[in-house]
Amino acid sequence: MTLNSLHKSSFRDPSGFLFYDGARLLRQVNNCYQTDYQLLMNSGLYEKLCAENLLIRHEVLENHKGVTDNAFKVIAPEMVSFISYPYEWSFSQIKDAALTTLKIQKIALQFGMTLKDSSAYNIQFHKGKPVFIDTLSFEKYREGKPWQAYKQFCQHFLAPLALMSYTDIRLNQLLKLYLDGIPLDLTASLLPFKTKINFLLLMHIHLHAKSQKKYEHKGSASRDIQIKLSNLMALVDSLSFMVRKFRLKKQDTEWGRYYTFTNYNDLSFSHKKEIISGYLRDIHPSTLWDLGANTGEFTNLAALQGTNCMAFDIDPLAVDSNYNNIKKQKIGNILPLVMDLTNPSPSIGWNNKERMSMRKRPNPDAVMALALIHHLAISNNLPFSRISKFLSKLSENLIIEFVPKSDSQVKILLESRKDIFQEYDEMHFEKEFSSFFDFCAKEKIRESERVIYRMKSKDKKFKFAAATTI
Amino acid sequence: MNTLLTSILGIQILSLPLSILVYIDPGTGSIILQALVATVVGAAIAVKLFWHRLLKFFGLRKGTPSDPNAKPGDLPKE
Repeated sequence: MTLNSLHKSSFRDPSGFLFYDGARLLRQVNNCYQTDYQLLMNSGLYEKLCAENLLIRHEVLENHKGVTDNAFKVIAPEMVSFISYPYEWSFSQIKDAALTTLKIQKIALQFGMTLKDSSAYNIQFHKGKPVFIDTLSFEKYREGKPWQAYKQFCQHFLAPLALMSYTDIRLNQLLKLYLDGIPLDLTASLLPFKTKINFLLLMHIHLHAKSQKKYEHKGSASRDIQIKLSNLMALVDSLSFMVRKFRLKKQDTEWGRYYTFTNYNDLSFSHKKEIISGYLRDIHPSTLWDLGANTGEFTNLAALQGTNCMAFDIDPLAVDSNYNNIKKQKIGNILPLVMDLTNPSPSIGWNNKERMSMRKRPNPDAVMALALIHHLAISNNLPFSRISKFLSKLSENLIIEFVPKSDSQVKILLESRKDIFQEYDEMHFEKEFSSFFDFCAKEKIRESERVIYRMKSKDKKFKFAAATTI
Repeated sequence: MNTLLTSILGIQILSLPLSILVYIDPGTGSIILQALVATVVGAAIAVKLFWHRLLKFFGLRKGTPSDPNAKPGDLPKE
């Protein structure tokens, strides 16, 4: 076993670690975690959490001896379909992830266990819901002992939620800068005064920040502190109550009214859906990325055909709306995420490898880029050649919509600026894209000037992948 | 704030060894604040429960407290 087979983000917890055995991701449970692991499995906590879809299931690999001498067991966790990070989640996703963590902590306490960490990276979205993926986060609860993961919970969950609710929805992006959650003193300084007169915010954020600073170099001060179980439960409940109460400010973004004022009438809209559904049936992708998915109207077409979809959009409100909708309709195969395509998630953390960039995540079978090209080419001054090269490396199959200058949305983009885009037309679009793609189909939307294409990437890596796929 | 914190620290019983498997830094100030908040919200629950039992005793209320405008510490509705 080399250092390279160890998972790049799994190294802090002495209880065990993730590693790759070939293509399979496995978790080694170390000897020091034996007692807690057995308690987790035998107390009924594991079954209870799995039955409620709160904890990821795992299989014990009896014959696997692990990769180091101190291995107790090797387990194979159920795989989630896509890895995402809290700085990519919308407001409601962070809220649900927080509530899941607290629910798990509450149930764990009832079974005599407690979470030793409450990092937001312990949560992944699986079949539409947040689920806890770190099986080794549980330890035996010792009566009187404070919750060791309380600080982490406040920094990873309360801080971004409070900032998004009271200051600005975009502030969860601070999670990209601060991998262990947003520092509470920074959070406190960014929150408005009214948060100081809210009892729970005053306690969990403002006074918490002050207390951290006061006792910064006085480690022994907290050593003997005891907290009764009933008070600890009350604390966890107070956090749940607080998280539930967080709401976004009413904001009107241009996207909110997008589908009311676009260049579609009912006929165009349904024809667009028809074309896309047809192309999706031709490709039959098992995974798909919808770039600029907005509220997920068209992602849904792929989901209905059984595809596992990621719906990316730059607008956090649109993503939130998409997420709330899929929750209501109980759709398990769409994951909405916030992503700026012109500045996608970078690789960050230790050695710049702990959290993967967007490009490092497994390529989908197909990409949809509907009503997107004008935002990239005009708003962001990206030449067609760069856009087509980028898309050709992302996936073998592309469904893309060309939006001409005559379209009302493009006119809006050009209203306040000089039109330097002399080559922004269908002819140049096709010319640049044909360098990187083969054209499979093309159809104009009825009663609209927009055209939808289905293309296949010429990139060699997809030819090779196709040849070696089982 | 200071005198309150001091009085919390004054309520010490036994010291328990910290688990070696708690690998994250729980933060001294966080533990202290946690104890404070837990005591306050725990007391609030106790008062609420006592008040509810009192009213129930006098026949002024039935069942368990399930006020939808829950105060801190009430079990949130799932």
